[in-house]
Amino acid sequence: MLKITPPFLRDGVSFLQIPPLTSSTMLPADEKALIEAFQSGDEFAFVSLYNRYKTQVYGFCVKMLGDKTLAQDVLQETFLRVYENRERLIKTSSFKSWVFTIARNQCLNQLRRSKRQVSLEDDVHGDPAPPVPQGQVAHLEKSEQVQLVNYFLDQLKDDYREVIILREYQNLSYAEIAAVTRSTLSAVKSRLFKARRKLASFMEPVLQQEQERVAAQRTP
Amino acid sequence: MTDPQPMGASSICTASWEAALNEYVDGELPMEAQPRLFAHLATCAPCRRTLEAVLAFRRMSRQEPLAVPPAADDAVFRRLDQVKQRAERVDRNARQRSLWTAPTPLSLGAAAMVAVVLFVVGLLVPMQLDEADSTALVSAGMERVEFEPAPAEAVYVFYPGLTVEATKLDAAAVPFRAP
Repeated sequence: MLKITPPFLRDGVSFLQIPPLTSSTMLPADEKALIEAFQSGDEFAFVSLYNRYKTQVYGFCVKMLGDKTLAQDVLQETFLRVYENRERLIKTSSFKSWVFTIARNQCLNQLRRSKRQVSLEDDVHGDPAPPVPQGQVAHLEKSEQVQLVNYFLDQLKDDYREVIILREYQNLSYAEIAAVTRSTLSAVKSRLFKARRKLASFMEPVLQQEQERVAAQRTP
Repeated sequence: MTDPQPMGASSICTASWEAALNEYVDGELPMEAQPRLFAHLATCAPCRRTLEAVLAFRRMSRQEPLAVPPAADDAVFRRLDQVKQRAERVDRNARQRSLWTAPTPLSLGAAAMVAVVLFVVGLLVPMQLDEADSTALVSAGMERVEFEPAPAEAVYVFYPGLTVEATKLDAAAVPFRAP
């Protein structure tokens, strides 16, 4: 049963829009105390933890799903589960891994659902064409670079993509990635190694193309 | 950390060099192992290309700032508020529930079934006990000894002013026994 505590919304305004707390009501500074406060039912602690992790979780979901709307749904579901299952978190030190584990499971569920739908529509749409960079990689528009990177990520298998996202985008340590993906340290290293090898094989032609362009510009 | 091959074999690009390269990219390669990796990179073009590609991917992947839209924040807190309200309702209902509507470990049907079973057992057990009395249980190691009932003999019973004759067994008819 959920413990009854003050509402998240006050007159339709969420706590996010409430000005910072004064020193007398300041939340515990260190994260451990914050997590313990959250587990004992302090909703200010929950909001603070949400603000601390939402961008990372959202970024992970966007990259895993390749869709911002779906990512918002998964973000919502993730933090709802964090709130509801707070008593299940035994080690406060593993809060980050725990949140990412929930987000990852939600993403994988969503991907399974999407794949079922896509497999029905495959005959109609087929695979999207790879984006072709028109200039040097260094001089590509940001949006073009993002498009290219997202395309390469999309080409990776799910288990390669997740370790790359957790490492390259979310900066999780090997141990944290192992906890999130429920695997061993050596398995994480091996998957990162293979995923990077694959990414390098995608990137190398683009970089080579760039080098050839540079060489052509230098020759009169 | 995986130990790459010694310097003599540095021109041969092996999986262990690639592993060391990955650890270097992740900041996990110890300082003392880095000079050997750099020496290898100086002579190994494929490893250099891999490193350049990984770093280029990293640069490009940092180009997309991903911020949670305010609408998503509102949706999260609205949903949590709904969850809390539902929990409050459940708690309130639990408190207000009367004794008769309170959840019981047994359903009404199960309770009726138990009552019927107890009633039938209550009827059958005394009958079984009567039968059991007539055939007392005797274990294999015991010998059953039966006593012959004493033969009914005439007993003279005296009643004030009257003498009657009755058997000894007919106890109900005898108000008292003669000494």
